[in-house]
Amino acid sequence: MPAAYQTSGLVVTLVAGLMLRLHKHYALNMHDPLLIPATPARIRRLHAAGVLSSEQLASAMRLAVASPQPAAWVRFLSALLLIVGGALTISGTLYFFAYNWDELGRFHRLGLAAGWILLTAVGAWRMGLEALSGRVCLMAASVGVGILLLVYGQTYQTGADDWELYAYWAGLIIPWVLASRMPTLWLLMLGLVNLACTLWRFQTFGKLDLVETLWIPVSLALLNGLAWLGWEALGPARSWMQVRWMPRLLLVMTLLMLCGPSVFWVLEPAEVGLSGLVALLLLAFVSAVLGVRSWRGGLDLFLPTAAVGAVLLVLDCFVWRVLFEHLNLEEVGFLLLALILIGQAAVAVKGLTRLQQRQPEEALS
Amino acid sequence: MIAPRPTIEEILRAVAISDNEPARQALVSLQTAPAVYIRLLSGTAAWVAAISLIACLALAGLLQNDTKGASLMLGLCCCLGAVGLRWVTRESESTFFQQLALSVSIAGQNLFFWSLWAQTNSWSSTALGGALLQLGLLVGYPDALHRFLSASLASLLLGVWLHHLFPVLPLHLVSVPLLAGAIALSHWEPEIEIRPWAAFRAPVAFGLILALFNVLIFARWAPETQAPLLGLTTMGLCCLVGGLGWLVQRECDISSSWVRWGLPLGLLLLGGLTWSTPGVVAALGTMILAFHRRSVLLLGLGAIFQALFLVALYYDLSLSLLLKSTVLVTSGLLLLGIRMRMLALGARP
Repeated sequence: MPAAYQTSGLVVTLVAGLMLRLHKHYALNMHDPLLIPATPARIRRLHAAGVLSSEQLASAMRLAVASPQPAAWVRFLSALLLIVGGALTISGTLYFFAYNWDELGRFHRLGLAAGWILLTAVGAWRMGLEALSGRVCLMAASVGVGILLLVYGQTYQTGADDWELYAYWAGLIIPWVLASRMPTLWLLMLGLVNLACTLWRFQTFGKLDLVETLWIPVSLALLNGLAWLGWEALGPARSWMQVRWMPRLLLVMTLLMLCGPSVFWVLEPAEVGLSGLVALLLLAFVSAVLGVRSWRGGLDLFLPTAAVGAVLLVLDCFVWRVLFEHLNLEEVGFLLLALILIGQAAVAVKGLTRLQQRQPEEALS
Repeated sequence: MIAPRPTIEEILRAVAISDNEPARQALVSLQTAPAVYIRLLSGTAAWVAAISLIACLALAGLLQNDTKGASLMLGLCCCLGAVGLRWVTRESESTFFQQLALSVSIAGQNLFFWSLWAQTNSWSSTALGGALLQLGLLVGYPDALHRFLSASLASLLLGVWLHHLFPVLPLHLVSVPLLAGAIALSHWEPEIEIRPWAAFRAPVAFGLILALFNVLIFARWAPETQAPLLGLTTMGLCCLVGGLGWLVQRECDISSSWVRWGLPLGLLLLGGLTWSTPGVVAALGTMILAFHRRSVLLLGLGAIFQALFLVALYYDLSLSLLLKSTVLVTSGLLLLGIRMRMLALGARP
């Protein structure tokens, strides 16, 4: 037990340290309202304020929602054709091999998988990772590594556990992930590590009880949370890491993993034990830090919104337990639950909207 | 992938306004609408609250033995009350009453549908009644998210009602007017956005797109006898996407003969290949529309449904595995070839 407490303390210290680093990277980002994108609502606002005349309103509106320039259309169509065309070609090729799979010998199967990796890796090298086509090729090569391991395992019946396949897959693509500077490839590797860790716990330790099972999402939450903090801390200095969907997804993955054990702990604290409590404390800690950071400005508003959603979920489970288990209410309980839900959602929306108003970059872009 | 919009400063410069200070002051005091994910949080909480309200009414015995349509009236009263409450609080900053109105409205709509179905036991009457209620809410409830959902449900229910009225017409044929409406509302955005009813444009356009995809998903369970009519729907959607392409070319002043001939030929080919899955063309049209009017949300919606319909296409192709793979590889290589040709013709970005 003391070891678990020490581990929790170490993790909290580590998370706090990374949070501090994240804090240093965020600066209060006050933007000039004239540099924000022109949307119809803003143009109408300028007209209502008397800045634009009726004639200028029509011209401004046409300019604000005008179709992109031909060069932008070419970029869009080029990307669209590449993604759809590439997906169709790859899936068609896979179906072709699936059709002929039974007739293929073991060397042909392995040769095909290895040939796929070679072809796509050479394609990525030739086209360069700056081009979208090169990055698509590298992604295909990384997926090919998994297919090769799968075919190898099937052909030679190595007796290895499933988690080893995913662990080796994640390990083998590390050089490409590091070289690629592609968020999707990092996400693939993180997904594989998540899968490998989960399967390792189940396949190595046999049958687990509820308490032991709930440590899995807590561990994955720590892993994904560290990935999120790392991304946020290192992202500002690297242009390819400045996509917002990746840290948002990482935070959602972290919160989801924390929500499960927390809900269990709120509903059945005696059966869940320490894992649920640790998840709840971590959830509260992350949410509190996000709340404070958001209030000071400059933080992506999606992050506190996701945290608020997670906290509300756990809170509502607690309210449910109090109303229906402790107070034994029936129809009045549902009425109270509805009113509490409405009230807390109103407070959350109010608070988040205020944060949005305080953060011009998020509020106005 | 979406091209960024011009900034306010660029717009002011283009319409020859030199003093930017009044514009800056006007925008600083602008109350921005909550971000999409905040609205999503609010909507989800309202749904859960509405379910609790309905559970409360059910446990209180208000929904049992409902022969005189009391719950129908209760549902209508809830909707009217929600509209009234939302109108009264539309200028106030009280999020509690706005959230209460949203929850009561959702609970009222569910009660109304359930009760109408229980009273009439008819899809046609329920769809028509529901569509009329949604049209009323679309006009009466002053909230963009609610209007979007009402527009989507109203168009979907009208489609169901028409389908029951004329069973010979398949439901998926409704997707053609739905896409036409979305294209019209989006392409003529500059003209509509300066009209008094501009607030309805975006919710209705997005609602039509959502209804379009729902109709095309339901089309997968259409009776076998109506399967040949899928080609008709695909042809109609191809014509609309072709028309959209022509409108884009006209607005962007593109006069390349390659584009002029390539677009209809490409659509003809795509339509021929995917005639059994009209969703592929519809999703493509949505993505083009999204890029045309720089809507990230619409592009995301189009991309998700494109992926779904491409998977559906695989199952819809009534061919052997070998022929399926041939069709997929051929069409994929064709698209890649078109891309190479497009870039080779000097259009390299």
